[in-house]
Amino acid sequence: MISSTKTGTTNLPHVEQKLSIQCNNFANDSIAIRSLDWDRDRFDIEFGLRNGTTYNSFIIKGEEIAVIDTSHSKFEKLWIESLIEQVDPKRIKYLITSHTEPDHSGLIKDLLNLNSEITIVGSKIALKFIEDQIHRSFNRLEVKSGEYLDLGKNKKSGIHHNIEFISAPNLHWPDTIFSYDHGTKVLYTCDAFGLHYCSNEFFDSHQNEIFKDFRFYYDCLMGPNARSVVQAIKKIDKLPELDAIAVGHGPILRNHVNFWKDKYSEWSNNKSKGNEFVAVCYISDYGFCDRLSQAISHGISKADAQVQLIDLRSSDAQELTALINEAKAVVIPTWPLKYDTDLQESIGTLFAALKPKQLTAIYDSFGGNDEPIDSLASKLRELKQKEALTPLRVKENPNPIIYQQFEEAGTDLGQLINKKKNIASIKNLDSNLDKALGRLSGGLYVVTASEGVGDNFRQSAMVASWVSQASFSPPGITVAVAKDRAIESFMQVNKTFVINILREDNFQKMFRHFLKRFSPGANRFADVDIIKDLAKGGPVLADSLAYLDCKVTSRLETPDHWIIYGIVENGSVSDLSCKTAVHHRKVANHY
Amino acid sequence: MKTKNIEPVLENDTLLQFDINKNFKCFRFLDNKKERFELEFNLEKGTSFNTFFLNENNELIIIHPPEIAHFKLLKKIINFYSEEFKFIKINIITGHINPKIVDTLKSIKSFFENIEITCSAPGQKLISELWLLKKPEESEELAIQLPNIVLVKKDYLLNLKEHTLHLIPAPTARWPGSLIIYEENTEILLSEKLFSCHIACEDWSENNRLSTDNDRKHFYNCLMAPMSNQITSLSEKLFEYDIKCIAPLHGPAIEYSLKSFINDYIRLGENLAINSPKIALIYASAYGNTASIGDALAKGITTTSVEVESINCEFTSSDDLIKSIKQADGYLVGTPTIGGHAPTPIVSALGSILSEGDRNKPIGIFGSFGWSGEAIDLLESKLQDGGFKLSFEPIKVKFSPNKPKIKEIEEIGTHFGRKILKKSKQKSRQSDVGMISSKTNPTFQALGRVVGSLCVLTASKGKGENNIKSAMLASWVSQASFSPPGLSIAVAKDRAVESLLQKGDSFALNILSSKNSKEPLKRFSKPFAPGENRFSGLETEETPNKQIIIPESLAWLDATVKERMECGDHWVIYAEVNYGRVMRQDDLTAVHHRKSGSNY
Repeated sequence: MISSTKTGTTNLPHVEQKLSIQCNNFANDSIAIRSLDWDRDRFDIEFGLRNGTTYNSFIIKGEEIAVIDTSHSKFEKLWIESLIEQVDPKRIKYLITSHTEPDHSGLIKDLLNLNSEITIVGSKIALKFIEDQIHRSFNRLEVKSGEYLDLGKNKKSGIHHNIEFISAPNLHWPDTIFSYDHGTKVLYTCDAFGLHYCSNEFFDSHQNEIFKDFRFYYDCLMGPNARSVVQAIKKIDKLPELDAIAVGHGPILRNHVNFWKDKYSEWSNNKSKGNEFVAVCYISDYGFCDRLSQAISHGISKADAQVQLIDLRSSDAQELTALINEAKAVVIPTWPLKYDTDLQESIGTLFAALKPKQLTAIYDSFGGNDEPIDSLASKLRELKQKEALTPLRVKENPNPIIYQQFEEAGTDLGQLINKKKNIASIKNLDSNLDKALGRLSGGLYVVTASEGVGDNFRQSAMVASWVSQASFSPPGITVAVAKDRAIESFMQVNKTFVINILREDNFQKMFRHFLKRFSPGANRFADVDIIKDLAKGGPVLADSLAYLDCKVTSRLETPDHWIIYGIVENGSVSDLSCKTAVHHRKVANHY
Repeated sequence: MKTKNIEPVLENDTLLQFDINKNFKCFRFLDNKKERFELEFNLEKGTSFNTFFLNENNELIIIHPPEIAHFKLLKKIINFYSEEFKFIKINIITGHINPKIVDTLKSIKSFFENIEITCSAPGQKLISELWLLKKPEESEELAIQLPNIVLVKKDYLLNLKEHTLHLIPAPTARWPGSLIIYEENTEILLSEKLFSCHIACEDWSENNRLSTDNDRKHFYNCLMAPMSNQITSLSEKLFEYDIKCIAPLHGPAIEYSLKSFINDYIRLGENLAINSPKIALIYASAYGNTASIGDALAKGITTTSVEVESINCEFTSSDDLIKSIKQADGYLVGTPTIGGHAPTPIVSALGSILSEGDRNKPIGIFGSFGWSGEAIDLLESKLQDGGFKLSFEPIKVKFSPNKPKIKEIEEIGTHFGRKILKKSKQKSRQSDVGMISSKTNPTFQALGRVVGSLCVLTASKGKGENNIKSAMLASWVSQASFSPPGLSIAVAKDRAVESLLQKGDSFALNILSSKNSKEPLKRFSKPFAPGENRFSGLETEETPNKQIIIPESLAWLDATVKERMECGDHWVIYAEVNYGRVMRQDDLTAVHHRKSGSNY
């Protein structure tokens, strides 16, 4: 693996770690402070498109003044300065916390240092989390769905700012609440409807430009909670009218509010069709549980199976029992050896609710002092649970390779659940059509891709035959990639990949090797002869007839595949006398 | 700005009323008719026409009156106004002028005496000419007098009590009389053809940009592309105004992110090839039919990346005309025949071509006529006598063409464009000897190793006399989904069949057998003349969807286009497969192996 990057960096453009702040009025008496984080190099699953992000917080000036959410702690100085420019901290009466993820609650302590009289408004769980985060006493106001916080009339504008709260659990944190200002018709949603997109554009003016980021964010963070999204949208639809959605990440949605909302509805309704789902449990605010459970869930969704995320810390016993009972499979994290009574109760309830022979999978939370994963595994064996996956272990701070492994494991689990359904739908295919479509033959190829450097270096590969040329100028090709393929996440717009074209007289070995079922995160290239630095996009197979080094420029979604269009930037043929291996099929229901 | 869609005053679902404010209303005439010959209606979503009414100071102002087909409804609206309040005068502001609109003006004048027309100078010229035009078989009726015309020169301010209208002349080659109107208090811009699209839309404004993008782009490519320079400078001028809402002549209003919207529109023109060869499309059009033929030719030409400059010679100074003729790499001349003659501006344009034009450059002529086509014959003989060689048989269309005719004309345009391209490539090759041939370029060699099944794609669209059929060889195909079963196929932008593969269109894919692919390969790879029947002498069969199966087919698939993605010089089309059948069980699919990715 590539370890040192020093030698190569002189040629690379210097990546500036830039932070900036943008303040603007966006509705009557309402100001947004957007913390712009231009850093495109970070890794979390949902930042896959690498467009940076913003952390947005808001000020509403009624007769009393409220602030909604703060910012990431790295903006400490910038954010506090901007806040003071907009409002005297002594006059802030409330701080509404939509949820307590550190990128929005990172500066609560600093705000309280300026004015310790501020009342923090949030859900029961949120207030508890804040206690744990800031370790000091504060004025609090616990709110529930349907309750109001009246900020009174702004003297200048005459507008009455009355805030209604809507609970939106699991979007994407368990403690999430939305706030709706009846005076301005603005809905504050924090993570929901957001996108990781950093630009100076304040509003959603460039609908086309931001759509793919919006979709990607949804797939990563909201898709696994599709059922909760459907519930939340029902609640939003009961509100009088929406003029804008003030989101916690990305541009404020004002120009196409209904479009964005309808897309959430559409995608979530598609995902929550049918009843079979996987319950993925996690423990909020513990170890890497949050991110790891998201990676598993994302993988499950890719296989077009449904997911229900369950926070063991905050679900009530009845709800937990019902969900575990209905679930087709249950994914369980290792819990802290030292736990409080609430968590103890939840874990007890979870084990009581498991049905014999129900599929289960377990993973490491990596919280520092966990119940050992092997003892959890034997516990489940005693209960006669069916093991769906080998236990997912984490031995070091999770890095992209581990997240990918978790995602792939999730996909395996999703495919397991969906097996019956898929066989049924394939059988439904008209057999004449099936045979005719099978006559569409293609060549045989291996698509490879790699990205990242050092510890973050990872790579993937798959056999493909649904490849075709798509343009002369510029030279380009399309590849159809199933949505549940691990390599799909390497093939986002602007990323690179390699098409290895197999030889007619020698394709069996490569074909068989890459057709094998790999365990999640397994190295696809063990025992394969590869040339590393020939192509930008990924390894070139030494045995291939030719390779094409491609860069993705656009993607087209079909019901179960992505058609990926890549521009061929480079390539060459190793043996001009040899032909491409061809794949003839009798039926179209498999590759 | 929020505008409520109130109950239509009239019980009719083809008319919608939108209140901009108390005295300023928009009436939208909806038209769901799909089968129209003009290219710009090809997406088959019907259309709508936005007319605006203002009533103030005993005066009714009608902005952009509709064509005569909507006159009945228009009269009802005027009657409705006359019941509500007394007006003594109707002022009609119009920029869009054609014979059907002049008929509307005449009809209004025939039941309400005191009308006044406000338009630009080219508009006045057009109205005056069309007002006197009579078809020969028409009985001599009592002549209706041409109303008083108020001329708009440069930007013109119309001050009313509660509204202030800016009338901005926006002449283009296609619509010389065009007037854009801006109202100060409501900050609304009535943009006429600019930003229009043909959709029978019932909402006042679009609720999301993506839904109309495709339609607006199509409208642009059909009508605006040949005059993109004019469109760009008009659009740029609009940044001077504070605009809250744009209401075009056709389609929904646009209320959001207007700056980026206008910039995107300007960019549509920039995407057209720079430094590519250029054709001067010189024409005059009495009824708009000659112009429609010109549109189809231009659309066909632009698919080959050759640029078209549209020149309406009635409204172009002879200096500008000569400049364009000198710069062009080819010429197209279109003329109507009026009373057995070519209109004077065409005759003088012909003179300029004969004196300044280059005889080695390709030239073509076209025109529509009612009863005879003498003007086209005149052009043909004069040009041939002058030493020009016509690139194609003169296109003569009686009245208005049907769909297959328009398709044929589009293909003639494509052929003409390719001819120009070839000439200019020859030129650049001579000067550019050192270029690496793409045959030996390793990237293209590698790309050539991407193989595909040899297929013949056939498409049939429309009924009766409007039925169009086409076919092409395809090997850039692949399966693309399991459930539902789907495939992808790449189609070059300048392919005749491309326009039959819009979203919702069906086609058949005939997969060829390795044993007998020679015959169909030969037949479908030869160049076809525009409009030529691709299937003559073939015993074809039909899929359940009325798509064509060729006899050599190993297997056929019947599919419907679901999505399209623009990929360089091709469109990649994703289609869902509806039906399919294997015809020769024992044969193997013909697979196309190539030496280079620079050829099919």
